[in-house]
Amino acid sequence: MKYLLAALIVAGGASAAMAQQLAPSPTLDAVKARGNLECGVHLGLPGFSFANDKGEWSGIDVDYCRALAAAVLGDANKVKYTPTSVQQRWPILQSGQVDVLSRNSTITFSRNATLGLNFQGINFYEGQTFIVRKSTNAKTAADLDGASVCVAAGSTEEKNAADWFRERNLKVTITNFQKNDDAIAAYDSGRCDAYTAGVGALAGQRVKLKVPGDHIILTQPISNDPQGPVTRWGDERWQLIVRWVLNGMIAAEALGVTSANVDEMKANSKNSEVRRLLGAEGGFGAMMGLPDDWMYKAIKQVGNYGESFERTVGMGSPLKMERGQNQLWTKGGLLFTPPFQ
Amino acid sequence: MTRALSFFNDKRVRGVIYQAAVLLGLVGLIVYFVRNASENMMKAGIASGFDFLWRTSGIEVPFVLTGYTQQDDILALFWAGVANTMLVTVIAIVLATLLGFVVGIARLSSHWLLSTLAGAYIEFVRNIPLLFFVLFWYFGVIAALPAPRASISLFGVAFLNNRGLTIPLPDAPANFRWALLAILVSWLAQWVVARWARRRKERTGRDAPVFTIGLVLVILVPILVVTYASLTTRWDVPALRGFNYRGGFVVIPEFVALLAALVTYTAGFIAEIVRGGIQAIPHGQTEAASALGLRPGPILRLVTIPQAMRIMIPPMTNQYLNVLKNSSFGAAIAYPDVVSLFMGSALNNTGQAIEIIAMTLAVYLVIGLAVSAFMNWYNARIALVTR
Repeated sequence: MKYLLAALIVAGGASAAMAQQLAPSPTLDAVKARGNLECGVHLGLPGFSFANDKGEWSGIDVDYCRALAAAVLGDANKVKYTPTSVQQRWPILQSGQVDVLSRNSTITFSRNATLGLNFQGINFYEGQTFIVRKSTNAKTAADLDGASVCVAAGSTEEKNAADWFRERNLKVTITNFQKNDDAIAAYDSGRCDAYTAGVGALAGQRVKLKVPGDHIILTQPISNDPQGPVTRWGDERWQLIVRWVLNGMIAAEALGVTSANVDEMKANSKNSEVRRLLGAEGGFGAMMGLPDDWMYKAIKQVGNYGESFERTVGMGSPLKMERGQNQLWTKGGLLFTPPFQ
Repeated sequence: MTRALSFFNDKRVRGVIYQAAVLLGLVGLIVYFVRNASENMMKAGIASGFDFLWRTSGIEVPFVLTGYTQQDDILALFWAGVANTMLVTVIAIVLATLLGFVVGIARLSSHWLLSTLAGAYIEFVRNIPLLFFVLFWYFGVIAALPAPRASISLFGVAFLNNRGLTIPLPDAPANFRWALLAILVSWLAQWVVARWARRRKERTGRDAPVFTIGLVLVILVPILVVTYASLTTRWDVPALRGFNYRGGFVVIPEFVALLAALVTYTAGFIAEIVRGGIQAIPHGQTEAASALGLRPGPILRLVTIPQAMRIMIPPMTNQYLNVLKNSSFGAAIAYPDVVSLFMGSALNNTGQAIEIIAMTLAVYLVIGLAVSAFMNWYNARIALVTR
């Protein structure tokens, strides 16, 4: 009896020590308890986050939300989208109304340092440029001397544009609207000679103009605006999950894993990084408190980064954007992910 | 013991104690809220405090009265916004009052068409949301105006297009400062002369040529000094270069649209106040005035309106405060008022919501209380003095 008791104690202690000890994650617990992911997105930007007439959301930022939901809850459709304006986006994340913000928002130092927010990686390398009427014959931003420019108040573009023209001794009048849509409507009505935003955002907004063919997007960007998912400070384990789901989507493309071949790769791949990514070995999911097939589910249901890009903003979409900087680093782009090891 | 009891039983002492307790509780509650908020924000990593006011703003403002530039600090941006709010509010109050009086009196006219039109206008305006007015005027104004290349030229010095009204600006305003001073002095002189003439008439019954002197002092002198100042100053006349007119000062269409919306909207309410005020004057007053042989114009001017004013001032104060508050609708059409610049751009750049919203609130509170104080003073001045 004594021996049995001692054996039990030893076995119990050993199993407790062997079980993964995880830091508490209130956000993950809340998402699981709620059964859906609360994701902050743009009010409506084709290619990034846009709801169609049936209320179905699509876009590259929406795809990230879907991948995260698939990884955490096993179902990419378990997302509740909260559309946010330029002004609403930070308070909504800070106050805990959304679990993550995936809303083409530029990563900047002061936002990181003063807003209590962390940027978890880059899902889109954006560069600010201008859309102008073809009749103006402007070819680069420098041709806009004397022009009036419409912009969304509180965006990085508002300051970028002011600085860029001032540094070059060019004079432009900048009119600041509260919403992107108000600014683009004012541009369309002739109030401004140009509207400024990121290349990708402009490609999306252009669809909304009365005669999209009359306008041209200047090709030379005046800034670098890397964008990606944002979380609030605290809850390191949730931040870890948000960061590595994005990394996982990029790694999947680099490793050749797609939504079509993911089953086959999981079963037969001899590449250990693929096997670790898809949960065939390594137990990576459990280290974060997720099922081991977290990235398998995300890739199966949403696809890798390249699939998402082509479908939402690339050649398979009305925006027809080139990969450009948003190509893997091995193919001349800037996308890079640390190894799954 | 009994002395202490009787001390606490004193009604006045107890009143003071209760009031002190309530005040202490209130202060404690505020301190608790502020500390709670700042502690939670510190935990969440959100910056707080007022240091951000001295950071470079970096925001370009298209309509500036204060000399603000993009490289000034955020506090300067705040004042630029406050100045723009005040400008549109003051001008809107003056114009809305004028239009409101005209419509209100037209509403009472015995002319059928005039009173029906005024009535229709009032009913239309009072039952439509202000935001609709703002957007209607904004897109209406922009749509109606031509592109810069096809500008409407006003005597070749001012140009009207969908970027606004570009007017010439003096290169060196020194002469205009002197002109302004001269005008003020001459108006002051007119006031003194009128006072002296009235006193003399009351005392001796003799008339003085007040009208002729007034004409010279109030109108002729300003025209002369402004003409002189204009001729001796070099002007920065706007000229079309590239996209737009360069030089001069641009009155932006957002200002015009917001002003037009505030004026047309508020005038509807003021018209009703005017009508109500006039109709509240007992009919006997007008009848008595006509029995004295006064014609309708003088009756309105000398008998009805002075009495009606006493009734109109308090509700009018409300309307003026509404104009101030409604000026924040400018944010919907990019008019750079304090809400748009400070609560929009600056708030987004710094993320310090509590400080910025508190400051914006204080602006409206201070201006609003000042307007109320002025109106109360005016109300007391024209109140019926019983002798």
